[in-house]
Amino acid sequence: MLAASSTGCYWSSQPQAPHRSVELDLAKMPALTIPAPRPLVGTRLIVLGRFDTTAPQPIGGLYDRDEYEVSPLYRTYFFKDGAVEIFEHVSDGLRAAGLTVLKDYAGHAEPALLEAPLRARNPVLVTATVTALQHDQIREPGKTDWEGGRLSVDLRVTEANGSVRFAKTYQIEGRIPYDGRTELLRLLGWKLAETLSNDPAFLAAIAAQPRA
Amino acid sequence: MKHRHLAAVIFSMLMLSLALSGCGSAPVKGTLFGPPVGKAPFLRKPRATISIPAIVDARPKEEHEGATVGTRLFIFFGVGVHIRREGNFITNDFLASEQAPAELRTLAMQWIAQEGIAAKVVADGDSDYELRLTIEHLYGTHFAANKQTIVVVGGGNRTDAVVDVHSRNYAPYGNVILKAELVDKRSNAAVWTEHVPGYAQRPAGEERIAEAQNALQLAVADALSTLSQRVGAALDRLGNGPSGPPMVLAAGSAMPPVFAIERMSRFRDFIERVYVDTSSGKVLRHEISPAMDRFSSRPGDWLLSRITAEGVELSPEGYEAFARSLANRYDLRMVDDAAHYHFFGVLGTGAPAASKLP
Repeated sequence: MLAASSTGCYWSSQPQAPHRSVELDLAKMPALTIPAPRPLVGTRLIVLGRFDTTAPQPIGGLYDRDEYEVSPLYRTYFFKDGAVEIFEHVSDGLRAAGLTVLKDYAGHAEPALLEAPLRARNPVLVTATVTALQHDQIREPGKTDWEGGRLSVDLRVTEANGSVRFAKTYQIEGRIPYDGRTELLRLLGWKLAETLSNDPAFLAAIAAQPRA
Repeated sequence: MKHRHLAAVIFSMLMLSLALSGCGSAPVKGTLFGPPVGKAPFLRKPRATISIPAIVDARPKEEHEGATVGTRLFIFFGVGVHIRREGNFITNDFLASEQAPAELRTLAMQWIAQEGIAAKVVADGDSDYELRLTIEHLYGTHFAANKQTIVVVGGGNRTDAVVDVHSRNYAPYGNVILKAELVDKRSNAAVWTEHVPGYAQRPAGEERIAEAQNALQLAVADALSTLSQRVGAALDRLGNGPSGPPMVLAAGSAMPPVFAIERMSRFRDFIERVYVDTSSGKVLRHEISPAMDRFSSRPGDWLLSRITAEGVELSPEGYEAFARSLANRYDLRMVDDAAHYHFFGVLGTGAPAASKLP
């Protein structure tokens, strides 16, 4: 009895990913393919404000779930301008859909800060806040290498007078086989653009419709 | 007697291993004051006055209470122990700062003033604008993982211990997210709202708590540097910013004798500006200077500058008139940036060439 009572396991359940990151379960994540935003025709100029962010650092980590001694997490990654990179790719994706998009780099597409020459073109303003952005490299058992990512964005469409036409949170996640060349953040950004191009409520807010 | 000796050895090894798996020196009380407050490396002409009221603290509970790396302990009676530590360390109020909102307010006032964003920055009282700040996140953190197995082997008149240790060091990070709102006090209307992040990373090492505190201080400085840039850019948009009064040009103005094109450096640290003789197209001067606003444009693209050869910022209408007067000779198109014309060289010398502005 003494031996039994002196033998035991005492633990606290701890996460295996950095604070505010999540452990990506590749088996539950969709495969990311090259997004193809739907062809659209829009009647209004879109001003896309530079995305701001509340997402944490590190942006991700290198995990080896195939072979490790201490923890699958081998190292963590710091990338300060991830939200701005996503902003660039979303803009490219919306343009690829056929929309006319100008970017407000110095601003956040704030209605009150719209300059007179631009205001005269009666643009519709799209602002977005990145609330989660994660990019991991993951080796699965069997030595198969993946990249996994997730993106969460609070998006809002407003008129130049400040009235809000549309607000919604979008979540994108996916995995791709690691090949050293594919840019995961680009895929996440384009996937968001593709999702937007297929959302009737967003299209109504920006006065666009599928190209016939 | 032998069992008591074994237990003593195991207990000693357990205490030693727990001590070794700690986090370096004894933690000290944290403060957000640390790195020097930034100072504009170029001439600023601030005019507006700003007040910064008490900062709202909206951090989640875990950033006040903090977190320590969890421990899993397995005891094999009479044989040894296995200790596994894994998880996230997060600073608490003691380690970050017990006065975080007050210290941040003081630092924000110092940064905005020293960066030359406003002519006067006050805590309360008369001002043109009120800068309202909310702390959404503010913490230092690091991930940790290590494990140790101690096996005690007793035989005859001696007892041996075998210790197997695996550990890995991870970089500490500082994270600060501020919600910022600039209110025009004349109309009591918010003219700019944005989340302002500040991040920092420190090298992995033994002094993990101290480095997490350092990372947090650096993240605070990074957030306030970005805040200064963003508030400056917003005030410039309002025509009341640190770039000085904008120059107004009338539509149909004559071509300026000299104009400037510029591009942002790859890592958004510098602006490269080239001054061009309008009639000949020859480069007169080439300057590289620190970027006043890291996000003012896309890196690498040549844009028609909003700064004249005399160093005066053009008003939006002035810039439009400036571009149109140059468009007879130069290929200028608004293709990407809502606030700048892209510069594609002398008309007719490149392909494709634009015949007119959009």
